[in-house]
Amino acid sequence: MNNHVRELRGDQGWSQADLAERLDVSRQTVNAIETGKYDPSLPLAFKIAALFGRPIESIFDPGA
Amino acid sequence: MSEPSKSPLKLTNRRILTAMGGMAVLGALPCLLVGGLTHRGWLVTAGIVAAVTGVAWLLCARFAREEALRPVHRRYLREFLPAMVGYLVLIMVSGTLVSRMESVVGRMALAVLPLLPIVLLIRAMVRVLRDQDELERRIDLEAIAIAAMSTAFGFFSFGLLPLADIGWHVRGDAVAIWVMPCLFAIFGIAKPLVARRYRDHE
Repeated sequence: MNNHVRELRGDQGWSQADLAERLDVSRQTVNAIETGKYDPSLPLAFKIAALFGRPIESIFDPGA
Repeated sequence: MSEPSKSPLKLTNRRILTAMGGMAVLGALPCLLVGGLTHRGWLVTAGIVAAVTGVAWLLCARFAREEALRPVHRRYLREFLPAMVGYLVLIMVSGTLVSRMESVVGRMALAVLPLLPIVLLIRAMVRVLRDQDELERRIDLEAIAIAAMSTAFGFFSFGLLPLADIGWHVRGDAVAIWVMPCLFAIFGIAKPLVARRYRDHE
């Protein structure tokens, strides 16, 4: 699954640690999501969408 | 928002690993010395286990990234460390006094005394497993599965080998007592390997 978490985080000027703290997850988890190594659960994906104020499908897409 | 602070009192994973590794290595020295001088095999074994564990923690600290501990892991440390200290004290008491006790009930009570802090350790581990984030939980569960299957496979193989009648005579209790340390040791090795799968160049 592809996602735009890294770009959205960059737009806000947040570090991975900042985003991790806002989502109440580890920095390792943010890194794994951004690099596509780990697909978040639905509740965490909704939390990310709510934090950036965007619909979930504009952040995550299933890819090819 | 700022990066995690580097103040001397801040609990970070690297500092915790360094402190625990240092304490384990320091604790191993008297065990090896006293065990060697008094010919207590169990004390020498405990010293070797502590030394190997301590060196492993120090190596992990060397390569760990300096990051502040999250509240869930601070709570785990608060629960884990007293239980571990309690276990070490009680295993020493049990190992020293159990053979001197005449009453059977007393010997049984002393023998199982170190299990009390083990129950607290298990509780701390279950709580951290439940409360950490979803990727951390996934990594831990994968590592636990690998450790459980490897331990079972290893001990099952060990149980089959005597059928070959190769002159091995291993006491059952000596084998049983190594199940838990093997499980934890393999978990400790498996966890960073599993975590690597979810890590990219940072």
